[in-house]
Amino acid sequence: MVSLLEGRSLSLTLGKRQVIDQVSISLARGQLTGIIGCNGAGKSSLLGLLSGYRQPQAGEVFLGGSALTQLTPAERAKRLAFLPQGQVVHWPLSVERVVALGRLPHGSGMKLGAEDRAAVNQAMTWTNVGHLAARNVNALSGGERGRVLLARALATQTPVLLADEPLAGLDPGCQLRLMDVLRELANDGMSIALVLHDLDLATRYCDRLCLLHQGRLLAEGSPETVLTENNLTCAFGIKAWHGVIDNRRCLVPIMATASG
Amino acid sequence: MNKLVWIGLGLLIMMLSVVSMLTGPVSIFDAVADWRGDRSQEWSIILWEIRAPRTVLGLLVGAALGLAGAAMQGLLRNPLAEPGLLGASSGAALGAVVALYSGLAAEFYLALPLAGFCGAILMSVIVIALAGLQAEMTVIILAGAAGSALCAALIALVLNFSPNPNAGYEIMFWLMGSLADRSWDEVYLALPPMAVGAVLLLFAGKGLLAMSLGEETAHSMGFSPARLRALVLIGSSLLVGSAVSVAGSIGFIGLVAPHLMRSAVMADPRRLLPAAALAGAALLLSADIGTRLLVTQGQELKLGVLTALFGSPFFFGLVLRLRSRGW
Repeated sequence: MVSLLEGRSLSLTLGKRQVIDQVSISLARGQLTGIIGCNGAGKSSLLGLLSGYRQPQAGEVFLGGSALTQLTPAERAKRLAFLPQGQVVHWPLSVERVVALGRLPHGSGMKLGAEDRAAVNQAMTWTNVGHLAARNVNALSGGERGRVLLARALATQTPVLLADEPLAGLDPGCQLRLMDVLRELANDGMSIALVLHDLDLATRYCDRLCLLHQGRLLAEGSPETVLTENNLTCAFGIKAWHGVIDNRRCLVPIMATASG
Repeated sequence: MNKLVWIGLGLLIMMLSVVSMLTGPVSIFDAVADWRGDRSQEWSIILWEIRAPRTVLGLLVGAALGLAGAAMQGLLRNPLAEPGLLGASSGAALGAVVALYSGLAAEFYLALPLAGFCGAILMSVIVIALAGLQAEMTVIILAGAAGSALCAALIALVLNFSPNPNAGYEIMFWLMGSLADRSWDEVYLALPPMAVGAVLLLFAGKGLLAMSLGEETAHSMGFSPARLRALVLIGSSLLVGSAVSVAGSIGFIGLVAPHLMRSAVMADPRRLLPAAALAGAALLLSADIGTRLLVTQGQELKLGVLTALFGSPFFFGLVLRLRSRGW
């Protein structure tokens, strides 16, 4: 397996709190990786480290074999796209303009070339926001805006995509369609890591899961090895029903055991 | 649509420049006749040595304030940010006040703008050093507010201590802002730092556009938020410092110009930079023409008074608009 993005024993302290403690993670080409864990487990902080936005106190991140810190910001931006949490657009830009921002790492600003335009249109089709192209992004619903921002990240057309809760606020149909698209992109060779809260979608779509608990990597591997009864109790304080529907594994959380 | 905005602004500025050259006690026809004749009346000199630099300075100061305002709003991602937020304008005011009080301004007439410029740069350096470029924007705003408050206190202190009441008046009038009695020297003095500041800010344009999606996204697209802060803070300090040092404190231009142009450039923070610069130039020049038309008791109305007088109702309008539909 070729590892496109790799974090080696990363540690991060914010203030006095150790939010990431010796976490190693590797995202292989063609894999869809789910990063799961309860609120405050360190999922977003881990993505912050992997994207290079935060500097680890210990450990190092490698992108395509070279240390992230050795790459110029422009080189990094062409190889790694990051969709942070939250759906904030600070100015009332049009949807198309926001998606086109994804082409900034490729040098396009004012004028989009044919390649840029194709990437923007493709991304808008994937996330089904084409019909909103001319709308003010801040006049959209939260779920629509979330899709527009994911389209921005996809328009970058990088081999690696990190997305923090890209499904937040999306209706079930949109969630499934987006996961289909991301699955497809991974099959085509992209390396994608998503922070997810929906353990069922994580089970059904992800090749690998990384379960974070209190800043440490509690388990990693295929969904069935990670989402064991023990791990679910320990990390989330829940019990879940596992089953198979249409030859696909699925998981339904059924009750909270203790405080997670 | 887009091109029309630029052409419109360009035409407006040309028209205002002509009006500015025509407005004043000496008629342009007399001046031209004088210039083509024996030049005995010195009217052509008035036109070239007084009205032309005043017009150019008005355009420069307005453009500087508009550009700095647009850049600060883009950096802070807040439409209420104004260029003086970092303490550059209050620093310039303090510098000028010290020059007036110490008598330096009377000794050497460029001492006033020079001291103003030094004050602006010193204050900006203190604020940026205090907050640091890695700091959150709220910390930088807070540092700027603290610096401005200190300058205001020191200005009041100097006014209290000023030996004769005339010095106090002089300081007060200077603070109200004016372009009267400026020469080409002020233009030459302000132009180089303004040019450097403008180049820095125009370089920041792409980063400001990326910043529309927040710092983390901007970083992931290859823009360093710290570098962007440095560009914008240093660039706007140079622009505001030189503007205030030659024209005094002029409010509202830096706040209003970006607002006026935001919808015309479809909220794009990068295209807003040149648009706000042009709009600022047009606004300031119109205000300056206004001060020349509204002569009170033999004295021109002060520029800062006029911009505030027209700027604040604009803000009332903005409040009403925001109440109904957001920006």
